[in-house]
Amino acid sequence: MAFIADGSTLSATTNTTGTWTPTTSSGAWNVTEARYMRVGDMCICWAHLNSTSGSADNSTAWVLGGLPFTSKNEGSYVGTGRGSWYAAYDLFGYVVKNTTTCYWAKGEGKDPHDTGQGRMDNTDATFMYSSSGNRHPQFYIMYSIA
Amino acid sequence: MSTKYEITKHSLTVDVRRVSDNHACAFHPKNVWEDMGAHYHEEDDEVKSGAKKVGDVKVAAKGWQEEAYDWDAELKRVFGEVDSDVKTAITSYFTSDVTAKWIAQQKGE
Repeated sequence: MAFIADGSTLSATTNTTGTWTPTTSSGAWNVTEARYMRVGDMCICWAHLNSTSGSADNSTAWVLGGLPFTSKNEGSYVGTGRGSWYAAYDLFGYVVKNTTTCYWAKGEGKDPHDTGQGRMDNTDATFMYSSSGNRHPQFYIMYSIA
Repeated sequence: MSTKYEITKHSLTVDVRRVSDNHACAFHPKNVWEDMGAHYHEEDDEVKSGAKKVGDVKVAAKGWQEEAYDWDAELKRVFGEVDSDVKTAITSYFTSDVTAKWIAQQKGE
């Protein structure tokens, strides 16, 4: 049991660090490194992926699953994150409530909430699969957990 | 009941954490995604040549897709092993009712 400044307590059993396994709905990726830190009901994840030679142009949004803990079932979106892409693209992502997945779009002022189901338009996502050369997304995402 | 893994069941998902190294993964009942087709973007030669505009349809959308998980393969990939207690916990919890609710949630229904 840990005591924090305001006098409340935090169970040590909910404070953990470890690794996780990102999954993708499409494309082929290797996980270079993926770690998380859980502090109470908050989880911070970060990861570095690289594509395999099998990755091809793919039309679906870039959806990552396998978050280490289910997101909190509250509101609509319970987390957000940022990252980068090999060709100087910014990535930004979010976590939908009560899921194990996060959704990513590239920067340039795009709003990942602007299409149905709160997903990015695939014109924002296809670049991840269609660009030639190395693809090494790196990102962090922070979200509330159940 | 496995003591090797900590299993936490939520309404539509199951969190699994290996106690020894804290490797963790949250599982859901079925792989569900929306195939929105492909559009041309600024890096395509057709756009550079002016034959197509950014956002023009390259491949028609297929709509919502579903794919059942091979839990042996999934657990092997995530944890490097298939723990029978974990597999039982997941497969018994993801009933057709839970799976249907998960699909509906993913589709925003």
